[in-house]
Amino acid sequence: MTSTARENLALSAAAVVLASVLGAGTARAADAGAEPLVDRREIIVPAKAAEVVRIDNLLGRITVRGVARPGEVHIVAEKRASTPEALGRLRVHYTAFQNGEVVVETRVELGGRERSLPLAGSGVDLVVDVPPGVAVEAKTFGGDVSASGLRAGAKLETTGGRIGVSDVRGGVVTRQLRGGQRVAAVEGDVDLDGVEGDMDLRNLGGGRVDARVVDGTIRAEDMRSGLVRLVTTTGQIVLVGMIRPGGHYDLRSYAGDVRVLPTPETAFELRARSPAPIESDIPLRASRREGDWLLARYVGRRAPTPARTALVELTSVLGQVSIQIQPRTAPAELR
Amino acid sequence: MACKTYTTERLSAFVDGELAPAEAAVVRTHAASCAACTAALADLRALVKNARALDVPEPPPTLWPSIEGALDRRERFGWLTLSNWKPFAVGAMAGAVAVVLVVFALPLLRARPETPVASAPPETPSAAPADPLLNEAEAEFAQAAAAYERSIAKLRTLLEREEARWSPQERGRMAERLARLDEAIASSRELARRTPGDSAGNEQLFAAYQQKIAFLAAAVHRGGEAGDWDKRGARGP
Repeated sequence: MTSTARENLALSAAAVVLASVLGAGTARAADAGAEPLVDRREIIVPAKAAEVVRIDNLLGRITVRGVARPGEVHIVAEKRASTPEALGRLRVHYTAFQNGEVVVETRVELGGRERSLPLAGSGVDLVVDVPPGVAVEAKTFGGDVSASGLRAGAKLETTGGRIGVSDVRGGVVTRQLRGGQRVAAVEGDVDLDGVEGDMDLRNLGGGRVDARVVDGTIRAEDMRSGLVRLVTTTGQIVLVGMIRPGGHYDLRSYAGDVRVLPTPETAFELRARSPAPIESDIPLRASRREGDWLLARYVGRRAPTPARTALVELTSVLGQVSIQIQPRTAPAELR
Repeated sequence: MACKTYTTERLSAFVDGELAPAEAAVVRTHAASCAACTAALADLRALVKNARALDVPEPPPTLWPSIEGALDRRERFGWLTLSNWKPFAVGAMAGAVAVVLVVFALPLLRARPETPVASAPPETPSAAPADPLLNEAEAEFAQAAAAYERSIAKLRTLLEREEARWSPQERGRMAERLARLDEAIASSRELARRTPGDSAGNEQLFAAYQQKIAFLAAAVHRGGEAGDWDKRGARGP
């Protein structure tokens, strides 16, 4: 690389720390049977100005917890492999940049080079404790990825692992091929994307919730965001709990049913469409048909205020749409 | 300030994982106490990271059809409008240029003049898979690819139901777009096949799968809700 090219780089880092969690010093072999060799190491990375932590681990799981003291990132790496030779080829590196970025990466040595690759029988699991105020980006391939206790949002990506998010403030973004997602107690915009696997969403607030899955059911409870858009192609959508006054709920399934079980307080305007008659046990007013759409209003138990009326749009192309008012606390079977 | 112990080329090889593990460990130890090397490594890693980011951009699902110029100019889906994808196309072109630079320029910059080209033969697909760990990685990639293919097949089945109601022209346009997405998948698959042990090829392949899935899912929903996949007005009364 030329010096000119290097001078043109926008990112400069005065402090870089590279570490390798290597060696078989603490490796322990279980019985000579099928159990793998395991090597567990802990590192505390001084990162006083850390603003974002990026973790790239295609070799296994990632657990991120916002519990570390300010200025520290605590990493526990557990490597596993069937042979000492394979164990020695698994690496963990971290780099703390002066611009506030901390990067944690895992690699496997292949042909004299270190590469970021997923492995079936060997791997590295990471537990990373970060200060709550840092943003987190984490990526796995087949391993689960979870984040909790964060106060500056999280972006999680996995190909075949499960995604778990809880107790997070700030935006949450997920991308997944398969595995399912559980997202709970988020105060911030939520953008979830999956191909296969169910989504379980609970107690989400903030500006918007946008969840899309091709082949999976979306179950959402107590969605308090201003805009809630849930879309599945082959699965069901179930929305349980409170409807936020003034909120906009847009629920769509192509082949599955769309069910709404709201608590009775909030007034909402209903727009619903399905090939079968809409099933509803709530007192709808001004009900009328407009093309394939059923338009109606529900007057909640609170005094109706037009500006605070929610909009609930329900669409199922091949399935059924139903609305059933629930008591304030949803029955156990629905929780 | 430059380090007299390690040249930029050696540090670049270190960042790219091209040094033998023993030498890499020595560089790592040295860098921890050398301000010049730590700064240089940070720059190099930032460059590689930025290049990777450009390598796998996150385009909208309409990127391939738009780049290949197959879209009709008249507005169809809200998210397929020309004004929506134009900025992404510009970004994609910039990304493509960057990828070309990274693929072809970086190796040249790294090459040591005193090293004969013949002494560092490129890895060949036939030699690499002998490593059991590489076989594990390839198996993982293959499983993921199979999962993408299954989802595409499911969506294809649903789309066929909708297509039955379309005009021949509409079916033709859809087939054309899907063919272009398939071309992107095929070329990405070939890249991944030619570069075993390099996740970039598979990431590109998966990005191509994701584009097709997003396109199919949107077409299925729009077709089902509108009764006509490329007409507007599906959103409601």
